[in-house]
Amino acid sequence: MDIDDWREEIDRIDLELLELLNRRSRCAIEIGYIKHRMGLPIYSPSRETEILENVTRNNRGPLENDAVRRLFERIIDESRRAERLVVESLKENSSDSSDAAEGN
Amino acid sequence: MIVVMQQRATEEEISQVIEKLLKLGFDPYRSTGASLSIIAGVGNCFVDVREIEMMAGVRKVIRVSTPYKLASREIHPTDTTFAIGNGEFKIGAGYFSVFAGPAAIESEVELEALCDLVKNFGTGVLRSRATLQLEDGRIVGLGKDSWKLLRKYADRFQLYAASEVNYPEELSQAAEYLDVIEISASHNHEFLRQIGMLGKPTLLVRAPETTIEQTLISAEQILSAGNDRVIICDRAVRTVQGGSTIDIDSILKLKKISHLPLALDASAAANRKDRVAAYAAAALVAGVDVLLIELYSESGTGEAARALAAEDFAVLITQLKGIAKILGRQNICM
Repeated sequence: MDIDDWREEIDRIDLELLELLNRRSRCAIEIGYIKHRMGLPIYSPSRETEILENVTRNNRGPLENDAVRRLFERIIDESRRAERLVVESLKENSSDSSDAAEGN
Repeated sequence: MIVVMQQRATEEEISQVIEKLLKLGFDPYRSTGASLSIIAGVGNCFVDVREIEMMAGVRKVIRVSTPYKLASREIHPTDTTFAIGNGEFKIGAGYFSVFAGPAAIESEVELEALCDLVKNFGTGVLRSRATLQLEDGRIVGLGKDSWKLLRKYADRFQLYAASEVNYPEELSQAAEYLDVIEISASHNHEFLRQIGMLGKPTLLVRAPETTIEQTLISAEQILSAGNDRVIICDRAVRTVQGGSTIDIDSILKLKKISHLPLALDASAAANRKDRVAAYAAAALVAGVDVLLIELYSESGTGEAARALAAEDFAVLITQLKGIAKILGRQNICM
């Protein structure tokens, strides 16, 4: 395989990764809804540690564990943000509807 | 904002910082390095960095964006120019003006004599402080009562009136009599916001010992109240030898960071009349848009050692006009 073949392979993998990351993000959003319903905080440090341990334990390389950790830290940061946006929009909606109720 | 954790920071300490950043409205982005962890807080939030710096396990906090967005060139890259009064008298880019008058008003006779001088040399703005503490400790000036006199003579001589406000309860009177409000940047933020709500051109005076950043944060309070006509006025800084001097570097820095017009209170900075001309000329070359100069008349009890007599003022104004012309300040508002 020449350099163009490898680059095509990378492009294919990127699209798979993108699909997987979005699937993962949808899970985080669902969790955001549940957390909001149950009044749980968005940030759960023990769960984040668990995720990092899970991926580094199962890492078979060639990525080093530190590299895997840094990559997943970024994924976790974005999931946390996705959850926060869900919870915030739900809070805004609920305050809007209570404002409307007061107006009536 | 970037939070750098100490090498031996525990997982719990890192979690506490992430939690704090979330609470403040940031999205935290964590990066674990070989020896230390870094957490970037992304978001447009105001925060006192000391709150984070004091947390366990934190080595240092680096602020990336400024806490004075409205005053900075980040969102307003070009110089601000605005008008005083009916719109003909401009302050800012391309313009240069002098605010002159007695350091503090003590009598109507004195004011009348000085108005003649201000009018003859076309400086446009009649300025006086409410009170002034003399070298011998005496406090002179009629306080807020001097505003009525300023207004009366400003109208008679077709000048604009500028004076300082020190107390919140004086605000409505100040708005009635003055065209330009002078205020110390050391006042609390609530008072500064109230000044901003007056909507009058405001001369914000940097207090001694305060940093450029603190002065810009004070300007931010006035701007955030909806008043964008703010001039930042520099004064003297202390020297190592115990004297005072003007800080040319801070004028250059302020010009670079902020789009607001700059002024120098040349008389207060020099504190003796034989230095006023040199300070004024140096500041003009450095880029100030407005100079504040105190005048002295025989009938006043102000400081003859600090305020300029008529002849000296005449010479200085001629020199300043010449320098302004060389600098390409074609629209000299004097």
